[in-house]
This record gives sequence, C-alpha cells and structure tokens, in this order.
Amino acid sequence: MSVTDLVFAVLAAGALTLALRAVVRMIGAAGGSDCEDKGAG
Amino acid sequence: MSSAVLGQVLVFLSLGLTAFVAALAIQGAVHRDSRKVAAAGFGLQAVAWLGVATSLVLMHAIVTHDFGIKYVAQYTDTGLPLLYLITAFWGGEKGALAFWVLSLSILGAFLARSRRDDSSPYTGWLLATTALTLLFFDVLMVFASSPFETFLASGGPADGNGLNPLLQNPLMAVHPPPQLLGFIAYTIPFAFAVATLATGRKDGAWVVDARRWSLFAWTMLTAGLLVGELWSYLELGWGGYWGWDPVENAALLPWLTGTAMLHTFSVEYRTGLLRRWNVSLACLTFLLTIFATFLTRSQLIQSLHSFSGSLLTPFFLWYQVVLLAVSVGLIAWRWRVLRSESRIESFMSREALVVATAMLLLMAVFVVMWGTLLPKFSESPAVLAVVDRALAGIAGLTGSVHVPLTGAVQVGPEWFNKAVGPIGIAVLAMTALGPLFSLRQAPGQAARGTVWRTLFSGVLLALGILVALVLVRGAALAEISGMAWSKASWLYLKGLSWPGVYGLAAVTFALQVLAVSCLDWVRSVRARRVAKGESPWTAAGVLFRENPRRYGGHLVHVGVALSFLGFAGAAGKLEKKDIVLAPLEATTLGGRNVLFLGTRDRWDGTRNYAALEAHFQVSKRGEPVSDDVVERVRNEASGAIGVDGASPPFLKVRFSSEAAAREYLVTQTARVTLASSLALVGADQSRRQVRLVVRRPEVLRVLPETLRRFSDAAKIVVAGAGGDRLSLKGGGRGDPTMTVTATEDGVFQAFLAGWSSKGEQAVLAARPSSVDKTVVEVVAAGGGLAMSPEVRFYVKSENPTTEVEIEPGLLTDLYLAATPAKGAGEVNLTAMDHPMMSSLWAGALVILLAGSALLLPTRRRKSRIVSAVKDPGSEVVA
Repeated sequence: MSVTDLVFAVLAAGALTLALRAVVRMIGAAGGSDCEDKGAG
Repeated sequence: MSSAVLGQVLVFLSLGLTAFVAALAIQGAVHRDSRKVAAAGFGLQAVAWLGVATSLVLMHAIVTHDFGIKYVAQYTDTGLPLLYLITAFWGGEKGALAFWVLSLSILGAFLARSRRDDSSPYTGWLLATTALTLLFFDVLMVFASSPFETFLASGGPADGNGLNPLLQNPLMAVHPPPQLLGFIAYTIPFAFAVATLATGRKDGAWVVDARRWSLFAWTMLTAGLLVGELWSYLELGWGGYWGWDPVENAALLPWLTGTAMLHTFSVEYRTGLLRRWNVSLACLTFLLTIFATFLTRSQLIQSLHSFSGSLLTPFFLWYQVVLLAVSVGLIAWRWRVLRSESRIESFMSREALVVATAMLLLMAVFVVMWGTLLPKFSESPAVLAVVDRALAGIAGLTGSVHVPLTGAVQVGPEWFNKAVGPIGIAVLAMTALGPLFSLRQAPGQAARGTVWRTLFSGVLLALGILVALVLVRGAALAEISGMAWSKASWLYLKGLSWPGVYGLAAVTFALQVLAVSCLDWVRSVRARRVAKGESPWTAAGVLFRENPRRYGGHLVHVGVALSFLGFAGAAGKLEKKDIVLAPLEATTLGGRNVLFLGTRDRWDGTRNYAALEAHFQVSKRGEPVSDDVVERVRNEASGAIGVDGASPPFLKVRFSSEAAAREYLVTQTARVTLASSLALVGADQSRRQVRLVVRRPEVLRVLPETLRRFSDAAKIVVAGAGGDRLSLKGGGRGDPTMTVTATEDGVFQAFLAGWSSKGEQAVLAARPSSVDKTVVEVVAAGGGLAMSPEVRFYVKSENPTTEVEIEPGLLTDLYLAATPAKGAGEVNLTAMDHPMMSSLWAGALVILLAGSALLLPTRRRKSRIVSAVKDPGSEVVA
C-alpha cells in the first residue's frame, strides 16, 4: 500500500465514520417519532 | 475491495439514504412531526459525508491511474500532471455528475445545520426539496451515468486516453467548479420558495436566508462565467471572449434571473413587496440551471463545448417537465396568499425601478433563449413557416422587403449583440438611476432635482464623448484622405454603425454608474471623517461593515460599470486583421508594425505535445531602431563596414565584398532557421559535407509536415549562398536527415558557424538585399516587442490547441494568434487591437471581490437578520 493509498484510505474512513455518526444521530432523533409537535411552523 | 466496487456500494448507499431522508422530511412536514424533520437534517449530513467518501474513492482511482474504471481511462493518462488529474474529476460528464452530487449534498448539510434549531414543517419542506433534488442526481449516477463503471471483458487499457487538451489549462481547471457550484447552489433558494409555497407562509422571512444563498450562487456563477470568458480569450484563438455559443447562453440565463432575484429579494426583505416575483424567480432560476445542464449535455444544438452523446437527455427533459409542473402548480395554488399587503405606490420609487430592471432581465432571458433555440426549432418546416409568416407580417407593418426563409434560421453573434445590447444598456441606465430613488416613496423635490441633474449630465456626457470622437476620428480621417476636416467629421458621423452607437450609450451610462456609486461613497466617507476623524480607508471599511448591502452593492455596480466599459471597447473594436504571412512579411495594426520572423518547433515531453511557435516582432511604425541595438549588430557582424538603421524594422549590414555578405547571410539564416531544430551529426571538412538530423523526432510523430518546413528552411539557406555554392539532399517524405554540400570552403565554414554561436544573439532574421549584393538586411533582437503565439499538437488528441499571445495594455490589448498556413513557412495570423480589456477584467475582479465580501457574516448583519425576521419590512433604506 503506497502513501497515496494510505492517505485516501484514512480520509475515506474518516468520512464514513462521520456519516455513520450522523446516521446514529438521525435514528436517535427519529426515535419515538409519534410524538407530534403541532405548534411548530 | 477495488475502488470501483467500493464506489458503487457507496453510490447505492447514498441513493438509499437520500430517498429515506426525503421520505422522512416529507412525513415530518406533512404530519408536523418535528422529530422526523430533525432526523432528516442529520440524515442530510450523513448523505454529505457519504458523498465525500464517494468522491475520495473516485479521486483515488484517478490519481492512482486505475484504468479498470472506464471514466478514469477515458479522461486521464499516466502522463497527466497532478493539477489536471484533479481537473479530470469534473472534466467528463460522469465526474461532473459526481461533483454535482457531492456539492449539493454538502450544501444540503450546511442548510440542515443552519436549521437545526427549527424543526417546523417549513424546514421539513426545505430539506425534502433539497433531498429530492439530490435524489434525482443520485438516480442519474446509479442508473444512467456511473463514474465507477468498469470494463467488463478486461482489466482496462494499459494507459488512458488523456484529458482533452483544451481542458489542460489552469483557467479551465478552475472554470467548472464555480460554474457548477453556481448552478447547484440555486437549488437552495428554490427549496426556500417551495417550502414557503407548501406551507403558505405569509411573512417574508424566507428571503433573509434565501438571499444569502442566492448571493453565494450568483457570485459562484459569475466567477465561473468570467473565468470561462478569460479562458475563451486566452485559449481559443478566435479573438473574443463571448461567442454567444449555446452553452454560454444557457449558463447566462440563470445568471440573468439570479441577478433580478437578488434585487427583488432586497425589496421584499425591506418592504414586504414583490412576493410573487420572488417565488417565481427562485423557481425559474432553478429551472434554468437544469435547462442549461440539459442543453450542455444533450447536444441538442451544435456548440463549442463538445461533449460526447449523453444518456442523460431524457432524464433531464422529464425532470424539467416535472419541475415546471410543480412550480406552476404551487404558485397558482398560493397565488392569493402571495399577494403583498401593499402596492408599489410610485413609479419613481426604488421598487418600481427594481421591477423594471427585473422585466428587462427577463426580456433578455427570452431574447437569448429565442436566439439559442430558434436555429434548432426552425429545422422543422412547420415552425419555419410560422416564423416566416411572422417576419412577413413585421415587414408588412414596417414597410420593409421580406425575403422568404428557405432553410433553418441561422442566428449569429451579431444578432445577439444587436438584440441583447439595448437591453443591457437599459439595465445599466437603471443601475445608474436606482440609488437615487428611495423605497416606498416618491422622490421629494430635492431628490427629483438630483434625478434630473443626473439625466441631464448623462446627455451632456454622451454629447461630449461624441464630439471628442468626431474631433479625433474626423481629424485622423482628414489627415489620411486629404479631405476637409468638416467633411471628414460628417462622414465619420454618418458612418457610425450600431455597435458604435451602443458603445457610446454604454460608456455614458457606465460613467454615470461610476459617478453615482463613487459619489455616495465619497460623501459618506467625508461625513465620517468630519464626525469621527477617521482616515479615508478606515471610514470606507466601517461604512462597508455597517451597511454592506448599500456600499457592497455600490462596489458590485462599479464592477459592472467597468465591465460595460470593456464591452463598449469590444463594440468599437479598433482593428482586426486575418492575414496569411510568409517569413519576413509584415502587416500594420493600429500604428504598429507586426513583422513575422518565422516558425520554430518545441517538444514538451511532460505533457506530450509538439508546439509550433510563430515568432513576431512588433514595433511602432517608423520608429528608428535604437543605437544600442545597432551597436550590438555591428559588434556581432565581423567584417561589416557599416550598419544602417534608417529603414526600420530592418537594419542594413554592409560588407566590403559580395562574398563576405554572402557568408554572413549563410551563417545567420542557418543559425536562425535550422540550428534550433536540426543537429549536425558529422562534418566532413575534406568533402565540405555535413549531415543534419532532426533534433526532436517526437515532433515528427505528431506533426509530420514539420519535415517539409525544415526542408524549406534549408532551401532558403542554400539559396542565400547563391549559385551552386551549397546543395541539399534528403529531407524528403519521411526522411529525417539532410545532407548539405558546399563547393567553397568559406561558405562551408560560414554554414558550420551557424551552429557554433552561443548565448543571446543580436540577429533574429536575415535576408539578402534586393538592390545591393554587399548588403544583408537583418531584424535585430531588441528592435521591438517579441511575441510568439503557438499551436500545440498533442500525441493523444486530433485537435490542436491555440495558445495566443497577448500584450496587455491599460487602454488596448494587442492580441496575436497564428496557425500554420499552406505555403512554405507561412502562417494565418489573427491580429487585433482589443480596446478596454483591462477595464473588463478589472470590473470582473471588483464584482467577485465585492460579492465575496458580501458573503462574509458581520455582527451588524446578524442583528439586522434577526430584526427582519421578527418584523419584515421594518428596515428603512439609509
């Protein structure tokens, strides 16, 4: 594995980790979504 | 896992997640479920990170030359420098699509982040619209145009095709990203408009955010267009910067509506007026970005921008239909809700002027679209018949003669300049008058006086410029023709064509815009200096920070005015020459002598191209050659008895004998025309014979006709020796060697001396005198400006590229482009005096700097936004 491969692998892994973190937060935010917030908007 | 498989997996994941996010956001908006809206926001951020990862995988495949991926093999090769490898990411259609998805997902994530404190249905529709747009491009990437598609039968070629040479230019490396980003960013104002329409929100708070996104999109699109113009000017070699090419026109359309939108947003932000205008313009601008992309990719109309046949055409066509239906449907549904609570009260108010300007810009959109699409539509006999009948009707009304149309209508740059020019000038006039009017009120007596004074000064200015032009040009015409000055001036005035009239009007209004904008700055700076004792620069900086909308707007208008001065210069183009020149022939251009010295080849092993350089010397007509230059030639010409510089650009080098002159001529011509391209491989002193071989055989690979050029050059040297003193063999078809034999020792040594000269030479070209055989006429180095435009022939491309040479000046650019002609050593030269180009580029720079500065957040702006959201229309114009 060359330095270029390593750099790209680290960057892509970082991006995927952050994507996963955002997905977890999405699931967390959506949890119990039957609670309606009629007042907003 | 290979890059291709990983990339495909990520693209699929992205598609699935985007669809889920869109569904979540719609559900959240419809059911007023704030958790789902908040979740959709996080989902968009996850999509953005997936987009980043996908792009990294594609970029990795490009920089590591993974030719198993079709896209990488098609647009790159192993010899491509890193800059152009990066450029290749968006250099092809599939990569551009990946760039679109990446950029929109990142903008969507920023949008979601900026709305994290608001999970209302309004935000839900905002995120849903962004996600659905993203979904469309994801679908294209998965089902129609994947950048990760691989070769099925093999592991791919050993080397790729390389990037189109036209794109191998630093300007082209930076042109597509801002252009695409401009298109992409107009999704967000569209999303705000859709959210406003979907929720039926009555306040004008949406324009606060939408305007900032619009400003970002407008600045990016402007940057893209301007860099494209600069690239066209420097690279394409046709002498201009805007050719009204269909793809250029398509990109101009959203820019025009985007410009209108920035101004109408400003009015709603401050007064609550123009709501219908704003939602309509936001939808139209986005629709036009999709239309521009469709036109670029579909090859519906022949264009300079050559893209290969695309599978995306039907997708884009249907997407436009859906967008149009949704936009019209939503606007019609909410038409009553969108009615402003008040009306425009005076035609002499700023908002009335903004509406007039928006109408003019929409008219320009219609004209440009009509001119772009008419050639295609008129290919249909039915459409042609309708157009013909309409033209016949117009001819009947105006009393002119109607010539029936026989084939598809051709619309060229002249038509566009004629049709769009007056609209542009009218917009410029509005720009000059706009700052003089106030919002929501008719001007008072003092303000009315200012308006009349401005109009009157404009008329005076136009008359003054016209009189100055007549005086200067009339006098020049009188001098050349020998006519009386009054008659020559009248002739000039009568001959003033439409570009001249447009140019005059553009200069007048541009100067007025400059005056109005600068005077406001100067007055305000002076007031601050008096009140606070600040320095002019500090005062100007504080003013900009305190009221960026007003003073930043002035700066953008100054940039526009400077650009219009550049357009006016192009309209009144002084001189253009397209001419074939043989070596040592000259042409004149605007008081300058452009002398063609000859061609020379060059090989670039890094980028694999052969360049044919055409060398010119440009000097002022009749200007004597300086004593220093004459002295250098005298010192170098051993045996010369005199050097005469009285007939520039040539110097006459006189010798005591015909033989001495001949030997000097042989040495100089051999050195200038042969030594740089041909190498001596063996000199046989006893037989007075020497062999010459091509120094860079790679050149012959891409430019086989170069051999004939070498042979022609050698014949000139042989002819210079006179009689049969030198003879030439070889150099025929495909033979890279030549043998030169001399009958006299002196001539042979003189020929060899052509290769022995070292360092910078005093002579650039030489020829025998036609009247005196003891005289050799030479062109001296330093006797004028050296310019060398070139044509590049790439190993991996059939299309050569033109590299023009420009000598920039404050008032005029001298522009030279040369391509090889049929005759021996001849070139086709395009030489132009391009007035006011510096003003055009300076204006462009000012617009971009001001646009970027306006995007920076300031403390005061934040507080203004908060107050505007609380009470839209509360702000009063300063």
